[in-house]
Amino acid sequence: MKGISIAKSKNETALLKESRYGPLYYLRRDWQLYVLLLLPLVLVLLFKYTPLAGLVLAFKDYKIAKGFWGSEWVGMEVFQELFAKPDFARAVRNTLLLNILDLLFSFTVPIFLALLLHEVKNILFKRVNQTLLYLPHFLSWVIIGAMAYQLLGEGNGMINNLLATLGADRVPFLQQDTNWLISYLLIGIWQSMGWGTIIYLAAMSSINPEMYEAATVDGASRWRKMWNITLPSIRPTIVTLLIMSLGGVMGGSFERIFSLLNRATTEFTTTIPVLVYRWGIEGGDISRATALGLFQALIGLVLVLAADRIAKKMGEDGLL
Amino acid sequence: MKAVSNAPVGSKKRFDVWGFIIHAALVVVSLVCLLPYLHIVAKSFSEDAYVIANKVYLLPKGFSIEAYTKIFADASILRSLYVSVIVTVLFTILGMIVTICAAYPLSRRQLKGRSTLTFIFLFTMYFSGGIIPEYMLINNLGMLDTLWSLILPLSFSAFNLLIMKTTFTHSVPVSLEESARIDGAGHFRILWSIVLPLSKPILATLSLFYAVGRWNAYQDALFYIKHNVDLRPLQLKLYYLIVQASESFQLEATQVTLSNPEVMKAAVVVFATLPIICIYPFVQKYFVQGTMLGAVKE
Amino acid sequence: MGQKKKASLWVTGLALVGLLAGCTGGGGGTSNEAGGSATNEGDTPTAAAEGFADYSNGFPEKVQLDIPVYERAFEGWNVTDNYYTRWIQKEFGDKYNVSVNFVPITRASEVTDFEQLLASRKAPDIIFHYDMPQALAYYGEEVLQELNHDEIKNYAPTYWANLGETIEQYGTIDEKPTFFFASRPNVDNFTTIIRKDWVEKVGMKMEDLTSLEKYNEMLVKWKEAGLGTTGGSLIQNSFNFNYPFRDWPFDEKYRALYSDLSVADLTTADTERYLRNLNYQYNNGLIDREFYLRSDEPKIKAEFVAGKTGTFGTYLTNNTDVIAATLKNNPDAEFAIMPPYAGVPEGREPQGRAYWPFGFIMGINYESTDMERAAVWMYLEWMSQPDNLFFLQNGVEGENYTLDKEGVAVRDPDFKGESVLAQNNNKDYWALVTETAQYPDPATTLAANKRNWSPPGHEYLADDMIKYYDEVEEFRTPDALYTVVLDSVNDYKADLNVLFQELYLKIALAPEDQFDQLYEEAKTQYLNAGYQEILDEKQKAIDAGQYK
Repeated sequence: MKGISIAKSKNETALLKESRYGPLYYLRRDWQLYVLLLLPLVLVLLFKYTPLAGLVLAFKDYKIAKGFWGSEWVGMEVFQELFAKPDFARAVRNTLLLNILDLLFSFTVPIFLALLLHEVKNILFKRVNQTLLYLPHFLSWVIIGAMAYQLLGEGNGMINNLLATLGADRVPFLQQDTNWLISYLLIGIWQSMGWGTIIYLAAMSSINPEMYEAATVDGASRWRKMWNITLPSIRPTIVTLLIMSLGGVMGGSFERIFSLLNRATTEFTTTIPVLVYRWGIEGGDISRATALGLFQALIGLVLVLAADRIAKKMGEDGLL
Repeated sequence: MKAVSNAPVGSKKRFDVWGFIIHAALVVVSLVCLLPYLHIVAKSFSEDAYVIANKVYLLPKGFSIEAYTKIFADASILRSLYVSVIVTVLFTILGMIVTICAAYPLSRRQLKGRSTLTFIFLFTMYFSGGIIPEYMLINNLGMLDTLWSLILPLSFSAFNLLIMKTTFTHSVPVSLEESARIDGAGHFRILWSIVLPLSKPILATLSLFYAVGRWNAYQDALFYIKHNVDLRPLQLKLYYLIVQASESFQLEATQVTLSNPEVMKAAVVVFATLPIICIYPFVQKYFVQGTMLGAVKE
Repeated sequence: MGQKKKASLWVTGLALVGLLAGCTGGGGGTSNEAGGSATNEGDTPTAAAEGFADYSNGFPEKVQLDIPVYERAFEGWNVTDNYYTRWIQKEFGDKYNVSVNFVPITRASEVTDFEQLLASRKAPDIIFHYDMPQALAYYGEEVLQELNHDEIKNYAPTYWANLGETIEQYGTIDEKPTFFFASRPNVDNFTTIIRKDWVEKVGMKMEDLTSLEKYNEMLVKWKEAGLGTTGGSLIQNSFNFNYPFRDWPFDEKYRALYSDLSVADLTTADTERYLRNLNYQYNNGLIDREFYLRSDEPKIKAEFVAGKTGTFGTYLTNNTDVIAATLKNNPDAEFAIMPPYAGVPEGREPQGRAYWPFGFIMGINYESTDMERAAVWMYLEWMSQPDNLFFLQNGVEGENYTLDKEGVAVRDPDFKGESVLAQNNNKDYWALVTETAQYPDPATTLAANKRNWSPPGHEYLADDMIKYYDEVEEFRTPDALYTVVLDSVNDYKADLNVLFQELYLKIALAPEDQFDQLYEEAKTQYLNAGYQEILDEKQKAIDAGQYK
């Protein structure tokens, strides 16, 4: 371990010294790296950056017949209109609420689950469990939404029928605002936790087993090993994923909300992706939907960059 | 199932209470994940009348395999399966090549312009031009109604890139790389014979992500595969069968019942998810312990 | 790793960039051209009025005719390439040197599909929709050409004879001829089925259901007998719920102001009466307690089939699965059609929304050339020929169907041969000229409809449905058609629909003593959210006489 950090710092001093050379020097020295980057760069520039021109629609009054370039410039008018909508403030609040809660729970549960799975040494047991845990990931939200109401519905959901048979009161799991929020979170955890463990398990699988053996010889308990060996080794992965998730705090899945909502329990269901869908797809107002999407992306990017800075200050690698 | 102790050497003498609890908890959580899928399987083998009335839970009622017979008799569904397999395989290969090509240079500290380049890639996670500009690009490239429209645009994933970059940075000891460099190995050599072999678990994982992501996605196909209905992947077919057919349109005078039977929908869900679920056990075998890493770590 | 492969991919990448650059430039160019041709379009009618080119022997060059067709995901059905599309190409296309291409339009997201196709200049020659507000939205986007009625008359005399009057009456917007239509014969097979055995079990007869009050009395008895409730569903998309609660006779301008299928009314006394009844039914346990969760037909059907609700609104057809499935779960079930007055408060009439006298509302793509437009008219003309239409609707005699002695085509439901029809009898192809199949004389049409609507063993249901439909004919009125674009409707429609659902449910599910207060608050909120603006704009159009 020590050897590595020394090597790292040596490397860095070497870089500092080299910084007075011109760009051609680096191009010659590391040409192989740049060649490797060509293909990804071309794909990204072509398929991700070219369509960005579409974002100008947020500043135009888009008419199909006039096309991109022919549509009229309206400056910030679309944004002014957008910010004045009563649904806008509500959507920002709900989006933040749902996603921060999601970050607290849906983000952490897979880590715990991966730690538990890592403790299992019987290969068959592990494989069977993992495969079962992934199943929800393969069901689309439309199907999950329908099943949620079949199971949790107040009137004839299976679980409520069971409660009624046992003499307990029926619970409006999805038909009362706070309960809906909790169910929304739990269903999200259920759907993604198994799939979320994959990355962590992959990271854990490259831990040197000798470290565990040495710790066992020293008499470390199961929890100590988990805390001192397993967790530190997946920390870079956790940090990377966390920073990336922060960027999604203004976004979220439209389909997840749409298939879990019902029209009588609406306190938390108006979110930014829902509005993008309603205005862009249902209402056909491409300009307004684009403006909202741009607003959402800008905030997401700012959050990511901020988180990246903080991570670096704390001695982590960050993304950049 | 009997709980198996995880303690590596010689502690099998006493009953491991925590080990048991961990195993029991995993069994419970796994079952919770399994039940909904069982529900769909049960529906797919049931008789219509009971499914319509929401009376099927975990076991089929009025056993019937008619829905599956219909699926296997429907040439268009089989054709969609074929399209999905082809697209998923090509997409995964291309996606992995692109990801490796980007992740390795970006994980090297000596790369000049590293943070700018990383930013260029990362930026795409948060900004997209939207449906219509992307659609028009694909149109301008002449890729509408071709399988390329399903393979090329999404083959770069910023998420997968960052995962791989993080792993390359951390899992490959700098000392190992330096000793290779002293031996006169170039970057291509180092990537090919040191970095990639050491990163098998993450390569397997990201391949799985690419494959499953492509298999499950239908939105792009919904837009790009318009005229040539023969090129519809399986999930798009599924989308049409499930979402489309359950809508009713009041302005239309309708002469016949239009919805596809619920049993049929359930059967198609099972049919569309089974192949991809079967992939995981194959991927998992690459999750071997990093023994090699230990061997060279002096 | 494969260096060669990588290099070649790279080259491909560069080539793609070049291609893209070229195309973007080209795109700008074509958009200018489009502007140019649009102005040309303006003078075409005058120039052409002197005489239209004769294409009866075929076009001088191959014309690409792009016809939209709904994709409904029928199992085993290829919507763009099947026996009938090939037949159309052979019978119509080859004859006139036209290549007929079908463009699938996803039924559930048709507007998105059209907008995308329009944006990429790949939209079909016809742009259609069933609902006038959306058709007007297309017009507002300037993607529809101005038409020349003489041209239609010239190329499609039969079609014009059938629909010219409708086109002249309803197809002109802002004084520009814009839309043309498919006909909509005055029939409807949407009805409500009720559990007759339940009605009789509580000591009542079907004839007793003469008003909403009586009907609610019966629901109380159902509840006391532990049978079930009336079925219910979430109000969405088509807002025609308050018709039975309106005054009769009605005021013409009031109707024009408040009847809109695409924007719900929340503020009139009619809606208040509707909500009071719903609130009463909900609080007394007379309606499906979770009616607001029933947002599509399978969910509504599930409750009826399982014997939890006693009513179910549906399109009655001979292949419906609801009756057999209900019997399987409840072997004693008997069915009847709900009498029209059962949903109407004492002293009111069973009003309902009449369909407009047309089915599809169609316009011509702004990019279509003169020849493509002529080909559209010739296609409609060809399809309006009774023989062609009959073949598209029924298939091959002796295979798909046999003619009975009344001259009605009797379908063989088990026919699976090459010429098998789509599950909705190919409607998506022939709906360009008519919304329902017609025979030359009304009696045969009626016989044929009955056959299509009668569930085997329950033929009386179709008879009753038709009887009731005719009985209340006079109380059906269509809503107003505006001849100008109402911008506020397009602006607020999507938001108001969501808000309406939220508010009406809040009111309906509230305890009875909170009704008044909640309703007053909701009215204010709804008006402020854009409904007032819509009403103002409509009022202005009404005052200017810009509606029908």
